Amino acid sequence: MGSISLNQIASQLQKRGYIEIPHFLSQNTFAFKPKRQVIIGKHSVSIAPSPKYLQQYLSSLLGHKVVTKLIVLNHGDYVLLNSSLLKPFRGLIDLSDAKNTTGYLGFIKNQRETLQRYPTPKSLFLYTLPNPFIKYVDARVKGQVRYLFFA
Amino acid sequence: MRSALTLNSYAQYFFHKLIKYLLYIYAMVVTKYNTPFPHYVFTNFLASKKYSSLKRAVLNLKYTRFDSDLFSFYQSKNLLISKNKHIMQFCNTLLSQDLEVLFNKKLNGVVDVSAFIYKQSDYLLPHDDLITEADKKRKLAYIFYFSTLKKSQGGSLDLFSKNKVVKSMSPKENTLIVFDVSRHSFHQVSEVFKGKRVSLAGWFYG
Repeated sequence: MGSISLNQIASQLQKRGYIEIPHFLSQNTFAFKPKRQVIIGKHSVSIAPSPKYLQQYLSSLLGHKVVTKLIVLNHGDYVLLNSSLLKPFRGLIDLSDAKNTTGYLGFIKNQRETLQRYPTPKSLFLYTLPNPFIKYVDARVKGQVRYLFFA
Repeated sequence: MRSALTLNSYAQYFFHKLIKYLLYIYAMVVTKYNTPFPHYVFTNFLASKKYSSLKRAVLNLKYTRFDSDLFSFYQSKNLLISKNKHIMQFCNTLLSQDLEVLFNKKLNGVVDVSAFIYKQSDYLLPHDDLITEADKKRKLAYIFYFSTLKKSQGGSLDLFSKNKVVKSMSPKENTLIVFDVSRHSFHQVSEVFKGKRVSLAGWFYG
């Protein structure tokens, strides 16, 4: 992780509503067994167990116990705006296979997308913006999109 | 004399076969389905000339790109304000279909119509079309196709039951599908992989 102070993080969050810290992780590999979770009209995803070492690292970084959810998206998966799946969270660690054309984390303001955050493997993304959703992962995407959400 | 009679009966036989074939190709056929929720499929909905004129009019419309969590497609403005006579004729044809009787629902004679184009990677995710505000009660939804796509090309209208697709209908040109709108009527337009899916779609109100 590069040198960026907590004050700088707080300042960016206040100004823009989000901050991306690339190269947060040095490695990206782990084993998991995802479980399907589909609610028609809300979301279609797989949920995998969160890597314990990342939960412990986030706890020590934030100074409190963290709640995490590892959301895995394959072709055809998505999280709609009206789903409550992402409601508790304010940050993610990107564990995606590779940069993809869709499967991005989007935010809505005044019925328009204000931000599209594309999968960026090994990065950390913090946000205070409301109304997140995850865009449908279309057939052009090679590999999985994986976001470890935390709060 | 006998040969003349035989020739005549053969001629009649082929004539009837030809009429049956032409009716199959050109006559409107209406099929009712009840699962997973009530819907009707009208094949050969418009006469050939009317269909071609309408298609030309629709392809010449101006489209705007719409992209959100739920969908990606190109859509025209609301065509009820269009002065195009072919589109107006289409609306009149729609309204004359006795859908109140077919669906046993009270309609108020108001219908929406917009044109949609789905290109490669476009889609419309699962939703039920239900709006229940007093002045905007959607009763029936419809789609009319100007494209024929194979299953492998995507763009199918998929109907859901208990979180699963239980019926998948690939677009076929000059086909109208009308279905009941309710809290059970979850449906989607599957991702288009190849080709273009052009349609008119909207709702009947009541």
